[in-house]
Amino acid sequence: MTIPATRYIGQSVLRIEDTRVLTGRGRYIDDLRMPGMLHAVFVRSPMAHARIVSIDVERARHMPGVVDVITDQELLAGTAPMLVHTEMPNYRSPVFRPLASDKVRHVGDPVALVLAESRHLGEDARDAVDVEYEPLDAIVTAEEAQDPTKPLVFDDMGTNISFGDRQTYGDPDVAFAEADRVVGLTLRTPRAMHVPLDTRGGVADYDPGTGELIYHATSQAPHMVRLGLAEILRHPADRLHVVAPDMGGAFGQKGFMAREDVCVCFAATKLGRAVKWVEDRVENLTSATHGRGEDIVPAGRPVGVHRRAGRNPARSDPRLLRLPEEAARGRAARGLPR
Amino acid sequence: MTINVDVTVNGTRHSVAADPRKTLADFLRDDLGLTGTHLGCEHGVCGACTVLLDGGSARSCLTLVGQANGSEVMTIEGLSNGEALHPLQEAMRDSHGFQCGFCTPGFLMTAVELLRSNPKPTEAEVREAISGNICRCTGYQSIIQGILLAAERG
Repeated sequence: MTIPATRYIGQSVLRIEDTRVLTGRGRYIDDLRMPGMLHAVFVRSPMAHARIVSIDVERARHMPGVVDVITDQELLAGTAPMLVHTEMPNYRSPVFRPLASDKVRHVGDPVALVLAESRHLGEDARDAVDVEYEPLDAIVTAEEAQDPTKPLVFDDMGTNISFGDRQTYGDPDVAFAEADRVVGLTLRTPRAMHVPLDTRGGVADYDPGTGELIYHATSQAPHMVRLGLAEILRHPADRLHVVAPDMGGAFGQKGFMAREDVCVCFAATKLGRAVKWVEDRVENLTSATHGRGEDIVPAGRPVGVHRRAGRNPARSDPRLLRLPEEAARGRAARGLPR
Repeated sequence: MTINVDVTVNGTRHSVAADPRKTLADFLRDDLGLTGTHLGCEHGVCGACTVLLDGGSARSCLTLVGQANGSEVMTIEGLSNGEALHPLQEAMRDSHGFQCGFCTPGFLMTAVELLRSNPKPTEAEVREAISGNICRCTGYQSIIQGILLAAERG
C-alpha cells in the first residue's frame, strides 16, 4: 500500500483526541476512579530548612476515614535509596528518601503520607499530624551555597555545591585584546515555575494476587518512571506498568519520577488497595520541580560585553564578543532535581 | 451532618443528602461522575471549573453544592446532544483552539454564556469575556478565533 505523500504534508489535520476533549470526556489523572480507592494526602514542611525533632501521627491515625499514616521509618525498610542518575561528570548526588526523616530541605518537603477514604478526611488528618521542627539557616541562593560557613543541606554530600565544571571556548585573551571597550555586568535569571493547569498526580493500582502494580501517572516519561519505581520499590519490572493518561500540560515538570510517586506506589502495595494522589495548587508551587535560576557573575577579571570597532568607526558594530563567566545555577533540595 | 440538595444537572434532577462543605465541582465530578469539569487551582483563579449556574457562568470550585439548591447547572457534558458537536465545539476544533484540553471546558462554558447574551461579539468583547480563564499551552489567539468563528457561523 502506498500513501500519497500529500496526504498530511501541507494539510491542516484534525486531531484524534479533539472530540473527547471538547465533550468533557478526556481522561486526566483526577478523572480516574478505582473500586475501593484510597486518597493520599501528604504532610508537608512549612519550613525551608529544619531538623525534624519528632513526628507524631497517633491522633491523625485515629481520625474518621483514616486507613494509614506512613512515615519514612516504614519506607526505609521497603525501599532502596534514591539517587540522581546522570551522565554529567563531577555531579554529586545526595541520597534522597521518599519522605523526609532527619531534616526538611524545602517548603513543601513531604514528611508523612495520610491514606484516607476521601480527600476531605485525608486533609483533616493531615492537619492533625504533629511535626516538631528545629529551624536551620536556609540556603536559598547559589552564592550562599558557596559559603562554607553555612550549614549543609545534605550532610552526606559534605558540600552545598552539587556540580562544578570549567569550559573555555575560543581564545578569551585574544578577544579581550581586540575589544575596544569592556563593560562589566552581572546577569541573573530567576527561578521559574512550570505551572501546568493539571497538577501532578498518580493512581496506583496493585493486585496482591498477581503482584502486578499499575501506576497511572501524569508523566512525560512513563518508561523512566517504571524503571525508577522498580529500582526503588524493589518491585519486578515485568509486573510494573506505568500508564500516562491525558495530561493537562507539563512544561517539563512531569519528566521525572517524583518522591511522591514512590510513596503512593508503596502505599498501594502495602495496603492492597488502589491509591490516588493529586496535588493541589499550593503543593504544585512548592513541591514540584522548578526551572533553575542562574547568576552570571564576574570571574577574576573584568567581565565584559565588548564592542569591536568595525572597519568604519562611524558604524561600529556593537556585539557581544566574550562573556567570561561563572554561571552559578541554583537548584532546589527537592527530589530528582534537574 | 448532611444537607438536602435538589439540583438539576444537564436536564436531570438530583435529590441528594450532601456534606455541607462539598463544593459543586466535587459533587459534579465525584458524585455524578461528570469529570469534564476540571479543577486547576481550586481558588477561583484559572476558570477551568466554570459551569453555567442558572445560565450564568460560575466557578464550581468556589460554589458549595448547597448554593446550587433549586438551581439548574449545565456542564460541558450537557453542551452537545451526544451525537453532533455543538457549533462552538466545532468551531473550536476547526480553529485548533486547544492543545492539552484541560482548560477547554471552562473556556467553552464561558463562551456559551457570552454568545447567548452577545451573538456577534467583537474581538475585544471576546477577550474581555474570557479574561477569567487561563490557558497554559495554546495561547489565546486560536481560542479567540474559535469563538469568533462560532459567532460568524451563527
